Amino acid sequence: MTPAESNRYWTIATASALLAATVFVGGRMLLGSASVAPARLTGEGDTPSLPAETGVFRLAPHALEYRKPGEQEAPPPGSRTLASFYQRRAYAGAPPVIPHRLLNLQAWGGASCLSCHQDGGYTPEFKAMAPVTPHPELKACVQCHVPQQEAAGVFRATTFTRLAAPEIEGSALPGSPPPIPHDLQMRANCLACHAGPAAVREVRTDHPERVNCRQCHAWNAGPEGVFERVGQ
Amino acid sequence: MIAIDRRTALKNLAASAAIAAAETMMPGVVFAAPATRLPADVAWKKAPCRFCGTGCGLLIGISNAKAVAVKGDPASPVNKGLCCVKGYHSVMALYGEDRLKQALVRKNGKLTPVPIEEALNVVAENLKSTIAAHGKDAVAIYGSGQWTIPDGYVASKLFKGGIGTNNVEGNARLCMASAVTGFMTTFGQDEPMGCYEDIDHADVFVLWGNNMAEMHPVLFSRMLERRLKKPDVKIIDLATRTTRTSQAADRSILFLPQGDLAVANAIAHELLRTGAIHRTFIERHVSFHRGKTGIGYGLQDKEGFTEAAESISFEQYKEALKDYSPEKVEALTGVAARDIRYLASLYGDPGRKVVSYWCMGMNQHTRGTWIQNLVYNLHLLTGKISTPGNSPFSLTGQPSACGTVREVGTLTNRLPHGEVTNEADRKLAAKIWKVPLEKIAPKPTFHTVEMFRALDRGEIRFLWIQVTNPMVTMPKLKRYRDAAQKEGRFIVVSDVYPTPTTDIADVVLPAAMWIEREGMFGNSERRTQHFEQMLPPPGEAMSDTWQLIEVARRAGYGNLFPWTKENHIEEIWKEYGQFHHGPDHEMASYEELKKRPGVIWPFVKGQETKWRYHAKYDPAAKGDSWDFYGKPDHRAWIWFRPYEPPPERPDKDYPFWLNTGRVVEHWHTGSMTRRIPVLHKAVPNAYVELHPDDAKAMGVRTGERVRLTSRRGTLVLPALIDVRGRPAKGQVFVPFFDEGLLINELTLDAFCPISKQPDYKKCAVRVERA
Repeated sequence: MTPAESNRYWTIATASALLAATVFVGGRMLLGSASVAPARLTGEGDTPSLPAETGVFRLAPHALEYRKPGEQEAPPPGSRTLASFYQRRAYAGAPPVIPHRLLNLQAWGGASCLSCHQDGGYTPEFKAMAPVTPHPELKACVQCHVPQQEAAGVFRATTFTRLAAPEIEGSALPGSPPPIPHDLQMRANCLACHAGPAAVREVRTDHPERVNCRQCHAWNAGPEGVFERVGQ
Repeated sequence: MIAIDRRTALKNLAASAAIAAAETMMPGVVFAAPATRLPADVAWKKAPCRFCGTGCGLLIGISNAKAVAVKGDPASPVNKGLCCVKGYHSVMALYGEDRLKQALVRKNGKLTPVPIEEALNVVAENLKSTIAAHGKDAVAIYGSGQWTIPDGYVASKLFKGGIGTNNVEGNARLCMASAVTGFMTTFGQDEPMGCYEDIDHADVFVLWGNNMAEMHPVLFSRMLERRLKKPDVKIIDLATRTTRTSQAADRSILFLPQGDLAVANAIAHELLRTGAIHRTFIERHVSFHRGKTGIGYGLQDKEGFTEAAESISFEQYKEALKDYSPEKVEALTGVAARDIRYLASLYGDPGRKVVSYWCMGMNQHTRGTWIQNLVYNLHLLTGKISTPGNSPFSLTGQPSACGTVREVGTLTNRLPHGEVTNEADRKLAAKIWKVPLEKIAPKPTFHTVEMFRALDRGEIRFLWIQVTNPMVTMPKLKRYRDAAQKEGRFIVVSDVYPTPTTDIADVVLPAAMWIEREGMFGNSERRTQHFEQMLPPPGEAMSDTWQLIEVARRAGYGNLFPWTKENHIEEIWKEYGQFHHGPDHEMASYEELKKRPGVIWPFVKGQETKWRYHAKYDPAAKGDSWDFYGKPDHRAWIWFRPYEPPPERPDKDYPFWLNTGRVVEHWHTGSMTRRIPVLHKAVPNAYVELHPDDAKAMGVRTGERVRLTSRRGTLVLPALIDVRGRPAKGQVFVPFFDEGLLINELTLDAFCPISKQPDYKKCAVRVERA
């Protein structure tokens, strides 16, 4: 081995040793910080912390249209009520069933369902306002939403107990903006369900033009509990 | 009396009124008292979905020891928070009112409830007495791709290591066997090289006989999302029937049944003709072979088959393909020559990454192994394999067909590692199981169809069926139902609901289902997924694993299972893991599995191996690029496989093709999904789809009755015309989920002689107005 080579190896060896030491110390530091982290962050079964923001402002361009006169008038006879809204879901948060016959049995996504359910509006076929989907980017609608033949009844009865719907009036203080009581997964677009003539009256906002809903309405559907200081 | 304040009382009153109202609106659903189901009480726990082989991550809402809701798990790389209608309503499958909660033993011809201890004694006694009277190969177990990994492991250890018989099969023989033999013949190792992440890199998706929109809907949605983000992405649906998948695809190409063999060869022919091949890849990483031809269809009892591979040169391979010009193949398959050239241009374009997907269309095929080889050939000729976005990908039907049947090896010819015919593999099993080497029989016995034939012939006398419903799913059903009911046959069935299979049982053992016990599944992309016990099983129901252990202890094999109820899943995982040590199949630790929403194997030094056989991604691969280390020559094998016709084709007396399959709403035989009101009301019964021209010629409209008759049976079904799918002219389609309308009375028990997997997609029927 030439002196030059020997020098180079020494340099590599020293660098490796330093690197190893850094990794070791760094690792220790990481371990150290993990050991003081609050236990609840590592608890099994924790729900993912915050709901997604995607699609929040998707219907913003329609917000002003949702304010047009007559919006608070009685909806057309075929429209949803709060009771039918829940009836169409097997549990709170389940994908709703399709409560009507399909106009085009074999058409796909954008060519069928979304022609009414992307932007909503009055559908004379059903004498109802079409509900607006909060996730129009998902085109395979019948992957999750299926029509029902009520006459088929049940194959065998079930003893399933459903997750109940959250309460609607949940303001913390008199008059304070009520928190969001439900999960936001695939429902991050508030205006789809809470604005416009298709919205169920009990959950329809009177100020859709504000658009940035979550500025005032906090998401409160996570695990219950109050703040606790670590180690107290 | 418990004091409650006025506000609570009012709330409860309002809630009761709402429940009463809801109950009148949703008949069949029992609503619990309000206090037991406030959202604040809900704990969300992770589990893989119970249904298909996609393996979606779910979050199960548990409240007061009941599963009350489901969300897609946003942390799961499989589904990223989205499910399908079965997944969203999956927990309702636990709560059918006729859930089996007690063991049943047939007494004076009638299934009678007994304490489970008594039933386990009866099973153990019959197991022992059958072995004493007829020998160890007279007892058999028939399991499932819905078995958890521990279920399958214990079954294999008991039968192969304890009793010493290779009479172990799983229903994955009916669903994935051709995929296995396809992988083994081409690559020498089972299971895909790529993973679902390929979707995020691919430019072209070619679906071979695969209605993904209904069968793997979540992956289909990921594919649509990819196309939305990158509009030049192409989805090509190559099939025998127009489906939802065809509607959403960029191009739908129909071929005549069995034509896929010729189409694949024609694409290869065209790639060679135009020179759109990867020459250095072929030189370094591929070798050429051919096997036997005219290999039969397994229609006779005890029909055996042994492959003989012959090495050929690239030139000989080219020469063999001469007969498959696009024009010649157009005449044979109905696929236009220009469509074949179009497909070749997609596979051959070096600028496009290509994923091929398939499932039952290619697996349930009398030349199932061949068609897998032929599709691999296209990826091998173009070097589009084992890199992100370039993937020939065999989708699995069941949640643990890979994890349990294929990896644990619950097939007559397999061991948890390797083949029973291989002495080294037997030695490893004997060492880990701590049994004498002679205990493990060196010869395979019966594959599934032959197992039921042996039951008919009387060679098998005791059959234990777990987590599957063969009295709905066996082809040519009548023969095998009659076999099971013959005098001197003893049938044990472990299940969660009454089915046509429990109807013919001598003992029914109530099983704990899915999240009522701890377990693991392994999905299509080599991902192992753990779930904890979240709920108590109903009544005396017991996990399939523990049923096997209880019977093993009673029959004198208890020393093989020295575990407690509390630790057995963890101990099984640790023992089983020893079979797969090494960089080509290392499994994640138990602790790791509990933490993550699934881990892809090989899991080496904390890293998942997302692409196998390429040194950049796979620690087992040598060199700096591809290394197909599954084969002794470190090359992937291109097989020349010819077109051969199916055993039964439409003729004067039976002029239509019959194809069978699934619908998105129902899982397999519907024993679970039909008990979910939302799914039952969506598709309440089976039907027959007709082409509108055929329907018009017969004067049949949707809802009217049609009689289908094959050489084996006959069935009257309501017709459906252009409601969901549209079969090609001269073909009909019937889903198999309906135990009241058993289409398998008509199907044929022909199978691929290499994989022994039956073909449920092709037989001849007569179609008449009923």
